Amino acid sequence: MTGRPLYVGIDLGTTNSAVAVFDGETTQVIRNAQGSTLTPSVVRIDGKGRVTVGAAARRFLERDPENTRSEFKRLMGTERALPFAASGRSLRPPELAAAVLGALRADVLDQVGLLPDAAVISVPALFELPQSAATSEAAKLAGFGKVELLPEPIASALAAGWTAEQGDGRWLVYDLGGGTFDVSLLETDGGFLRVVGHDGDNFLGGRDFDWAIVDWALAEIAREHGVTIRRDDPTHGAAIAQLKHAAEDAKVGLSRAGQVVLTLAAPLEIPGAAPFDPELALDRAVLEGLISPLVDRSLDVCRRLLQEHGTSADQLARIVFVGGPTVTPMLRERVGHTLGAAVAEGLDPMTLVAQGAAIHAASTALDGRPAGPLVRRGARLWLQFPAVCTDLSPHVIGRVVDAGQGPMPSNVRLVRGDGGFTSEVATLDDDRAFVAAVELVARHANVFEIVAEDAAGVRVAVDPPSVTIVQGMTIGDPPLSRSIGVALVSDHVQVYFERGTPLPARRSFTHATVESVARGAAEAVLKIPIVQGEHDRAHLCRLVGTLEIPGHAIGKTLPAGSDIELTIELDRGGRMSAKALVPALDQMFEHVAHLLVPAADPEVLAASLAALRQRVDDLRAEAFRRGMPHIIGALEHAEHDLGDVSRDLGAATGGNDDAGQRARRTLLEIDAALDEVEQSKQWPELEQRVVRTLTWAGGQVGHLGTERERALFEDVAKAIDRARAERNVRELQRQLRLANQLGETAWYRDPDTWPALFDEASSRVDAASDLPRAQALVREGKAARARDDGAELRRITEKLWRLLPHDPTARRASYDSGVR
Amino acid sequence: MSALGIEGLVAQLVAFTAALAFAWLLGVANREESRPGFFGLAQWLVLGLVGLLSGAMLLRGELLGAPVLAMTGVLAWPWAFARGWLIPRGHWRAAWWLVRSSSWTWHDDNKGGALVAAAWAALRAGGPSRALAFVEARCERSDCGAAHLLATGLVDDAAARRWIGSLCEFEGVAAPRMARRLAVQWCAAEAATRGAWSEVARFAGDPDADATVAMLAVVARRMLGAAPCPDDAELERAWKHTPDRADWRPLVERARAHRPAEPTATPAVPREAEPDVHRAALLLHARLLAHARPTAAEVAATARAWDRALADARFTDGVRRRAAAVGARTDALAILRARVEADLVEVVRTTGVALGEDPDRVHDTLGRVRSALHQALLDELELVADGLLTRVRARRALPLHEEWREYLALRGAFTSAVEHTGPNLQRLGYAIVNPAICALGVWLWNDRKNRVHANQMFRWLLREAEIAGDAEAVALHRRNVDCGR
Amino acid sequence: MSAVDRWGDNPFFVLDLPVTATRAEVERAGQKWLGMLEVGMSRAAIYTTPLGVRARTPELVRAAMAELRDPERRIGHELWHLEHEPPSTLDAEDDADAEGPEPEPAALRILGWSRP
Repeated sequence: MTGRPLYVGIDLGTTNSAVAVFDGETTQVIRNAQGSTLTPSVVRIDGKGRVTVGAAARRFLERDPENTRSEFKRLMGTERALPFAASGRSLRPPELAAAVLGALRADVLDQVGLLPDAAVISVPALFELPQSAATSEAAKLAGFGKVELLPEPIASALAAGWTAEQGDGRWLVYDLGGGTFDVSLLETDGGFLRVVGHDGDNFLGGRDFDWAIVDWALAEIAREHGVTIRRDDPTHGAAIAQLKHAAEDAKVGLSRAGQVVLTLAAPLEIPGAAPFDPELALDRAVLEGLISPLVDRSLDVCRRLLQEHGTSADQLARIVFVGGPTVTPMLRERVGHTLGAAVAEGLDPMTLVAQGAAIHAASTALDGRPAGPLVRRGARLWLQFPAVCTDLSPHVIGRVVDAGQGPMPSNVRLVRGDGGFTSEVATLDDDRAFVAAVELVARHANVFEIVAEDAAGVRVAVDPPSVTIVQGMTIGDPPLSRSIGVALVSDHVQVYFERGTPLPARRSFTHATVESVARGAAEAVLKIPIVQGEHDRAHLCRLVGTLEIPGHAIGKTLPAGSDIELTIELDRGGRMSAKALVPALDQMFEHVAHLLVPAADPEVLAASLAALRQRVDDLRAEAFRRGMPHIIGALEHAEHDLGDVSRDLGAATGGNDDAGQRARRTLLEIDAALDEVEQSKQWPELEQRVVRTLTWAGGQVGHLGTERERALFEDVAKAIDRARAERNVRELQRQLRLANQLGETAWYRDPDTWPALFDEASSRVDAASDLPRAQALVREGKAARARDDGAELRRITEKLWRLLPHDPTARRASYDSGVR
Repeated sequence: MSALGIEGLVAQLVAFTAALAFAWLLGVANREESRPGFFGLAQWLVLGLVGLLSGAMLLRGELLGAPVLAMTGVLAWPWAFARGWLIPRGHWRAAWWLVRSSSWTWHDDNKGGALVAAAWAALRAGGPSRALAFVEARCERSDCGAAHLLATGLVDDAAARRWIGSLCEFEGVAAPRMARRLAVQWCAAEAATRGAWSEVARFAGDPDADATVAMLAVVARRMLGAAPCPDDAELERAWKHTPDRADWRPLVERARAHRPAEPTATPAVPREAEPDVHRAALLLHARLLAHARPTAAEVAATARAWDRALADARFTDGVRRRAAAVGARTDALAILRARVEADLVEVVRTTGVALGEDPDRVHDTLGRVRSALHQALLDELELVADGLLTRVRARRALPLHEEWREYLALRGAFTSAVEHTGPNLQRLGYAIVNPAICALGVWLWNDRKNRVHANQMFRWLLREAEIAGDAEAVALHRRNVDCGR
Repeated sequence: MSAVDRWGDNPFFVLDLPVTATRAEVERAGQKWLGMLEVGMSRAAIYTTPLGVRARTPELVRAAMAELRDPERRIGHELWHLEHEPPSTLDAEDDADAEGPEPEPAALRILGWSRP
């Protein structure tokens, strides 16, 4: 490798992508063949199989939607392949993203003269593992040998911090992309950057602004032209695409002018109606009205984040805006005014992320230059030092890996290029290694010459002869965006990596199996589900992979309670691998299945929607019946969200996969919210149950219990009091069961009990698993009652119970986990 | 050769062939339902006749009588020959075939005995994989009497203690005396290798204990200094009755030289008075974690040290000031308290310290540790019981010895939970394990016809129901146990 | 993760820093240990804790740096920092406890139960 290093950063956006390079001192945004810093994330494949990317493809978006695809970033991590009708090809989202990355890579070659081999690619902060893995796959397909992923807000903060002159404080990065919204709270302290926290909405973006305009246009067309165009009607797809493109242009136009007219490339053609060309005038006031709810939604997320980290408005030093939609003046004013902080000016919101990614590539020494021929210039050193660092006194660590024909160095010192600093002499230890502390000049590229001498004090040539360390703001390792853990059979999550864990990371825990897996049994399989999310209950987190131990793959039966030593590993690109060692079998299992975002099938979503609606109705009815007004507010919120889901479901039915994914996500969030509502009403219910149980069981034990049972009941009553005082739900439930059991034991001694129980069981005889036998038992029971044979009646009733169906067992919510 | 010689030879060959055929038939013909020792007697009668005949031949100087007599001896005492010759040399297949005819020693479980012989021989041969596969395959197919459990335990190191330890609970035809004797011998020796001398001492009164076990128990009592502590003379007496006594001499010498240490009841405290309460607590905590076998007193002392630290205004104010200085907003003391409690719960669970119950102390660290432990043990018990119940309801059958292992595992979890905390958990825990084990027992009894094991489970459930005071369960399991009589 | 691991992985032990270390010292120490581990310097491979010597790995160093960057987590780790005791203090008491009856490792072998 020769010349200055080439650090490449790529912002792979939903709408547009950008690439920047950093040479150790300055960043440069690369322009494409059209001279633009932004390349539309659009791919077209024509009938001859020719692939076009960027602005050239975007022109065909309305004219030829069957062969032109955009917004595929939102589908990253799903298994859906997008068809190109003319060529007959279908490409998965990573393949489409690879086409865009390939075009950006070629642009770097055009501008810099080098085809980069490594890059840092930014991803939304709330991307989950399947989405990150798909992005890494896209980079590999595009020809990058090494790739690292960096959350977008950290990239923008790095870029903003690199040039900022302001001192320490907290600042907010408000990143509204085409399809996602991320907000991050960062802090600089003594020049060190720290991510305090982040939040966001994976399904809020500039696209939603466009759709709000489209919905407005549809309403205007229906009012003025009497034509109803529906987003969930596939035959209206072309007209919707036309309107959407017009909406995008109008939105951009309104950031400069007060009013624009939606102009369509061609008249709208709707089946059953004559082609027409609507002229729709849109002004800033109307746009502000349309996007206001969306901006409010983003502000709610910001407030939540600030509140979570105890940051008040006056503690916020500034806001950095990132992403195309943030150029909208109304949005900038509204956000700045509401959060009460200054807006950082002079930063390009469209390319800031790419610049930050390039700076990060430098701090992780991800030089994109292709490897050149090896030229030996002396004793070869293996050096470790930060290419970019905040610390003014870092260490340079080295080891002589090959002394070659010359003498072996015995000590080393580093001399700064400006002559202002020489390190202490570091003697090589038994490992032929040294550690030397150096001092940097702030905000400069510091070049240090490596001066090595042999035992006789004669200078020895070394390779490399110098190192360069740039002083400036940086951040260490890329942090994990969402916690990762294993779903346990109890529906809890054993967290392996908490949010913010620096990557790469590896951790091991020992679990125990809960059920035996018989050797060779085809249907027996032990599942270890790996989930991602911040909920403590597994079913509310996203399933990102499942490690399976099938019966046919084990050498002998795996008994319940066997240890499983599970290790999960994440690399810097967010790729996960897992392996399970089973000491009892002396076998290792490594195959992780199902690393995909689940498909959003509209029918399944509709069924979930109906079930959640029913759940909300039931909870509301119960709240009114039992006088629990505190949960009504939460239920209204859930109901409002269900309305959103319903709308998204309509769009999903019309072929909008993105809306389907959003609906799926929202349903999961509503599920979590309703779980919380149920938890909040659990305690008052338990209190009522305590009173009922103690009264009934106490009465029975008092009248019909033995001396021992009365003593036991006293103990249980005390334990119930303790559990109530500690508000320990599980313990209270267990003690109540015990109290009930004691009450029942006593109650069964009452001669009047069994006739009543027999009558109750007889009334359900139609549900018996063996009807003739059950009917015969009923006849025998009646005879026993007639002759007043209590013992026989009890025996018959118990037999009858065995024929009646059990209560349905609790739903296994934890993705069928087989470990605890 | 004389005419008599030829006739004699023919007669001997016929008798020998008949004896072999009988032995083979008897080995196969023995069934669990048959009366113990019936075929063994028949076998001995035939072999006795052949033995007399061949003895007479030998007295008459006919050398052919010698190998026939030897063969007859082997067939008459198959277990002794297998135990003394084949097993130590690792001849697993020969041992298996020979012990199949050992109906005198193994009564009606000579199939199990044959498996024990094969497993044991395989063990001595260094566990050749073919031999282990042979034993395992037969164990899975078998109806798993006590001897089969012993064989399974021998080939499965991991579960050996639990399986073989549970074997002595079996009664009647399913547990021949030889199986029980071997099991007791193995358990005592295994406990001795771990240094668990109190376990060894408990075997002293076992009806199935042989001379070796008796000697080990005497050594154990001497090692422990338990009253009445055996004197040198008793040690020597016990040793003299032991087979292979030369091998045991070093152990007996060690026991003679052993002087039991005076029990030290003082809890662990830092050696010097530690003015810094936080540091004192940390030191005790470190000592507890580094300790392989802490006592309940040491756990309590550590908990008290933390109570003192967390109540010390100088320490708590210092923590709050420091938290403010580094910019932390969370309650660092609450997090510290939670971590201390989690550590202590873990120490108690992993080392098996019995904390017992103390309903009056619930608000200090030890009280909270007790409460968390109580919850954790019950939660785990519920999970294990739920796993078993789910499988039983879904009718996913396992080989019988694996079913037995599941039962033992759940039972073990229950017993250790009760030992950890106390009688309150006995009642709650019984309500959790009873439905699962009962369902397994009923399934084994009704559908799989494994009555020996099911009955064993009902017996245990009955015992525990009586302790827990669950009258309904007592009545139910009394009926279930009576079914097996 | 066991209690011993929780304590043994304390970032101050991993990075060999006092609880008063500044943010810059944390970053510097982390960078130094990572570099030393990467080039395979043997003296970086272990660190000492009150519970004994443990292996230092790049994952542990990275995690330790991240833990100390976060004030909420840092304060928690500060409370578990303990200047290393001279080994005799703990070991002496352990030895006293270990003074029990010795096991008889040959018992199973003499009876022919163990593998030769």
